[in-house]
Amino acid sequence: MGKAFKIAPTDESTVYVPRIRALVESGRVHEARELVSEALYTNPSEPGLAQWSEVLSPAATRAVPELDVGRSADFRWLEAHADSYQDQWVAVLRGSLVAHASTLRELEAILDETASGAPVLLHRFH
Amino acid sequence: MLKLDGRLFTRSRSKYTDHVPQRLEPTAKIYVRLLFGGMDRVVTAQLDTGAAWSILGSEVSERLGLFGEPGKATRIRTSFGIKDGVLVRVPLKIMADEGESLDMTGTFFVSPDWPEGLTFLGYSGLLDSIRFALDPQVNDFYFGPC
Repeated sequence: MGKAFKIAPTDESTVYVPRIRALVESGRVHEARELVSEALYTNPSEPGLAQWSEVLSPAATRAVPELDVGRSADFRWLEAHADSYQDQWVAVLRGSLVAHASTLRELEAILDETASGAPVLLHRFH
Repeated sequence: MLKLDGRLFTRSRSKYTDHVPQRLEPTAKIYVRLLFGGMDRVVTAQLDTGAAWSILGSEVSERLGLFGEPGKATRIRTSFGIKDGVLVRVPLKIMADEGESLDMTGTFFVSPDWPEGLTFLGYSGLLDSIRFALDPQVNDFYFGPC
């Protein structure tokens, strides 16, 4: 009679990452966060856990003394010109169109050449 | 700036627009202003408390070099169907007209299948980490750290 293999005991409850991912994919973010907390205590070296912990963490925030320029005139321009620039990226400033293009890359290239440093507002119409 | 029961609630305010027509979805949408780390121009983004995650428009993702970045691969259900992508941390500022802008690093879903230009600020990992309030009569967005 052959010798039986000895199989190391496994405990599926110590494998967290697949369950965290499944919770995220079903929209149960709060439960996913709770499971991350449990996993960090129980099995902190599980591969992939640190990244899940990072992306499920609250955002880090810090107030900074920096303000945007007034945009009321720019918003009025956007509200009035959507039909004329469908599927276009636009750059506006002080209520006027500065440039437009079909891609963000093209728009930024135009701005770099013609309006470098101008505090434009970028928007894409849909 | 904005007080609740006599105590400071938020200290920043910015104007938003909710009248920009959209062909894809014509109902009113709230657009606020962001400055992403790695970009030097302010862009609009849609505030969407009903979205589980913030999502970057595909061109912005490409511009920020986020395709191919390490993140957590996942699949989420969106208004454009089920999308495969990654969750990544992205630095940005929510720009203020008064008070202080809010520098933050939040979680965004990035997918090459996501439509161009549609950038959302969603709930998890971003809006759930700040205080905010709207005054829709005058289109004021109040915000600040928790």
